[in-house]
Amino acid sequence: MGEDENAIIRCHELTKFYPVGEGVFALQNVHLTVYPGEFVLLNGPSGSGKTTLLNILGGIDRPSHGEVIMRGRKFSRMTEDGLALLRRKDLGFVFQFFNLIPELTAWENIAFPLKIAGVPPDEIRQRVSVLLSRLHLDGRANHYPLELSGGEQQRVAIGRALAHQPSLVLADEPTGNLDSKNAREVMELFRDFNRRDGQTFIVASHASEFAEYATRVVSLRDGRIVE
Amino acid sequence: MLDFPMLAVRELKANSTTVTAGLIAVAIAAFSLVGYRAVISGYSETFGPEIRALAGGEILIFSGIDVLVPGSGPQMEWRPWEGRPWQSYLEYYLPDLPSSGCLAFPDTPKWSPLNVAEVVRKLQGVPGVISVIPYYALPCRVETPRGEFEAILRARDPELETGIYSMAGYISRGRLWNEDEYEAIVPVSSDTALAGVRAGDSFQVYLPGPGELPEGVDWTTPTGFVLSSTGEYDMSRKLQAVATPPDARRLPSGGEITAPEAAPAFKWGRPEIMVVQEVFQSMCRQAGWSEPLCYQVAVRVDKMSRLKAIAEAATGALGRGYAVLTLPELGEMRVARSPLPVALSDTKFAMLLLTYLLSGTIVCGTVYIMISQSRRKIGLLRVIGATSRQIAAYVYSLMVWVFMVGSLFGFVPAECLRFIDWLGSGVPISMFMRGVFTDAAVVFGAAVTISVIMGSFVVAFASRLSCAEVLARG
Repeated sequence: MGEDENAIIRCHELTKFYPVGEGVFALQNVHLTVYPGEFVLLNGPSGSGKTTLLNILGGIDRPSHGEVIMRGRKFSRMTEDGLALLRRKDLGFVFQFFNLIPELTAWENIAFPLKIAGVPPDEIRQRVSVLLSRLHLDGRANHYPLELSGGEQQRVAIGRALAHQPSLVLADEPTGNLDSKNAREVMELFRDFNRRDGQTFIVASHASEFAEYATRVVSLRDGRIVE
Repeated sequence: MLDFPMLAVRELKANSTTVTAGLIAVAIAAFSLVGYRAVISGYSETFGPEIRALAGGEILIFSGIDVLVPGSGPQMEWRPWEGRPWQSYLEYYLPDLPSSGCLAFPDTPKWSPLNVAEVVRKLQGVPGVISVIPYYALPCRVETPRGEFEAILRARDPELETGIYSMAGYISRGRLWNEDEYEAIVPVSSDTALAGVRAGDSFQVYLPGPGELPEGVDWTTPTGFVLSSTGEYDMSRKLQAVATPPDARRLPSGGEITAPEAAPAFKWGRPEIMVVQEVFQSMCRQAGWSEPLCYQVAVRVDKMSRLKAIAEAATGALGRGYAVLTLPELGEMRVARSPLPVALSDTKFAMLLLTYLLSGTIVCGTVYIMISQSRRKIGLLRVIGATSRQIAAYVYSLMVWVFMVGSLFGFVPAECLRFIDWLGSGVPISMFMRGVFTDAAVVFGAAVTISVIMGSFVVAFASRLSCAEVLARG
C-alpha cells in the first residue's frame, strides 16, 4: 500500500454498466494507479472504454461499481460541488472537440478557470501571458474561437486546462480532430509541460504512434485493461 | 476582468434575437410603472385620505357650472365666477376660477344654492350611491383676544363621521365636538391654530344674516355666539415639506387659498371652524336663516372601483346644470402641474402586477431556452470548477441584465415624457429630479425583485445540470 499512498490518483474495481438493451459494460473491474510526473497513454480502439475511464477519473461520470481516490479523497463520498472544487484545484481537462466558450476570446477562455478559482487579477494576467507564449498563441489572444484554426483552438483548450496548474491533466482524444502536424504539436506540448513542470498527464488516444511521448502505455480492450 | 455577470452579458449579446422579446416585455412593464405613477388618475399619494375626510364623500356635486366633455366645447360659454370661497371647495381645487371664470351651457342656471331635496331624490335610484351629504357653511367673524378674524363656519353630521371620512384622525390636540353643545374644532394651519384659538378656549363668533345673491349674506346685523373649542385639527401634519405659495390669496382673512402657481403639495388653508349640524342649524335660525344654504353635496359610493360609472350615472340622473366631479378628478386638477406620484388604484396595481408577471414569465422563458440550448456550456463550467452557487449567479445575472436593460428602455422614454410635461409646469427642477430618482428606485427595484423571485425557477433547473452535460454532442 506504500506505493498507493504516493499515487496521484488510483481506481480499483471500476465498473461502468449501461442498462441499455441487454446491457453494456463500458468498463469491467478496472484497476489503475497513476503517480506524480507520469505521462500515461490510454490506448485502445474506439469503444474500448477510454473516454468512460477518463470521465470517471475526472469526476464527470460516476461508476456503477468501484472507487476512485485522488490524494486520499474518495469520489463516491463527494458531492457534485465537492467534485467541482476538486477539479478547480487539481484537475485539468482537454476534450476532443475543444469545448471552448464561443463568447470569450482565447485570453478569456484561458483565464476563466482562474477567475472562477478567485485568483487575483494580476496573477491571472501573468499566468495567462506565460501560457499564451508557451502555446505559441501570442498573436491570437483577442481572437474568438471561431476565428481560430482547429490546432489553435486545441492549444487554447490546453491553456485552459493548465492555467490553474492542476496536478493531473486528463485529455480525451486531444488529437482526434486535428491533422497530423497539429496532433504532434499538441503531444509535444503535453510532453513539454510534463517534463518541465512535472505535471501528470493521462491522455486517451486510439493512435498507438503517440506511445513515444508517454512514460507508460495502458491498453484497454472491451472495458478491460489488457497490459 | 471577466466573471459570470460579464459572461452573461456576452451570452445575451450572442442571443440578442431571442432576448429581444424579453426586453420589450420588461420595457413595457417599466414604462407602465412610471406612466401609471406620473399620469394622474387617482388620489394623490400624499393627501388622498385628507380630501376624502374633508369632503365627506367620493363625488362632489355643484350647480351652475358644467364639465367640458368632448364635442361640447363649441356650445359652451365662459361665465364670470360668482361663487364665494365659503360656499364650496371649488376654489380650493380650481384656484383659477376667480380669475378665469367657468364653463357652462347657455341654458344652465347661474351659480346658485342647490335644492338638496331634489338632488337627493334624483340620486335615489342611482345604483352604488350610499348616501348624499350636504355641505352647509356660512362665513363668520371670530373674535379672540388677538383680534377679529374672518372664517368659515361649517356643519358636520356626527352620524356621518365614520371610517375614512372621520375627522377624528386629524385631531392634533383636544377632542371632537359634542353633539348638543356649542362646541367646535378649529383648524391648524402651518402649526398655528386659527387666530390663536386653542383647544379649551372659548371664542366669540358672529354670523351674518341672509342677503342678496351672489354674496348671499348680509353683515349689517350680525348675530353673536360663544363657541368652545374642543380640539384642533391639522390636515397637513403628515406632510413635512409644505412650501408656501409665492402669492397666496387672502381668503377672507385669517386663512388663505393657494394661487394657481401654488406648491403642489396639499395645504389646507381654509379657516373652517367645524360644529355639529344641529348646532349649526340652531345658530342659523338665531341669525335669521330659515334654511341654511347648500352649494355642494358629497356622495358616498358602495365601491370605489365603480366610482366613475356611478359618477356618470349620477350625471345622467341629475341632468344638465350640475357638475358632478369625483374627488380623484378634483385632486388631479389640484396637482395637475406637479410631479407628485399618485397612488395606484387597485385595478392599475393589478394590471401592473400582471404586466410584470407576464414580462417575468417571458424573460424566464427566454433564459430557460438559452440555458437549455447551453447545457453543454453549463456542463463545461462545472468541469472547470464552477459550483452550483456560481451557476446560480450566472443565471441570475442573465435574468437581472435582461430586466435592468429592459427597464432602462422603458424608464428613459417614460421620464422623457414626464420631462416634457414638467417643462411647462413651473415646478422646481429639484422636485422633478426627486420624482425621477423615486421612479428609478421603484422601477429598478421591481426589476431586481421580479428577476430574483421568478429567476429562481430557472436557477433551480440550471443548478441541477451536472458536469456530464459537457459530454453531450452539438
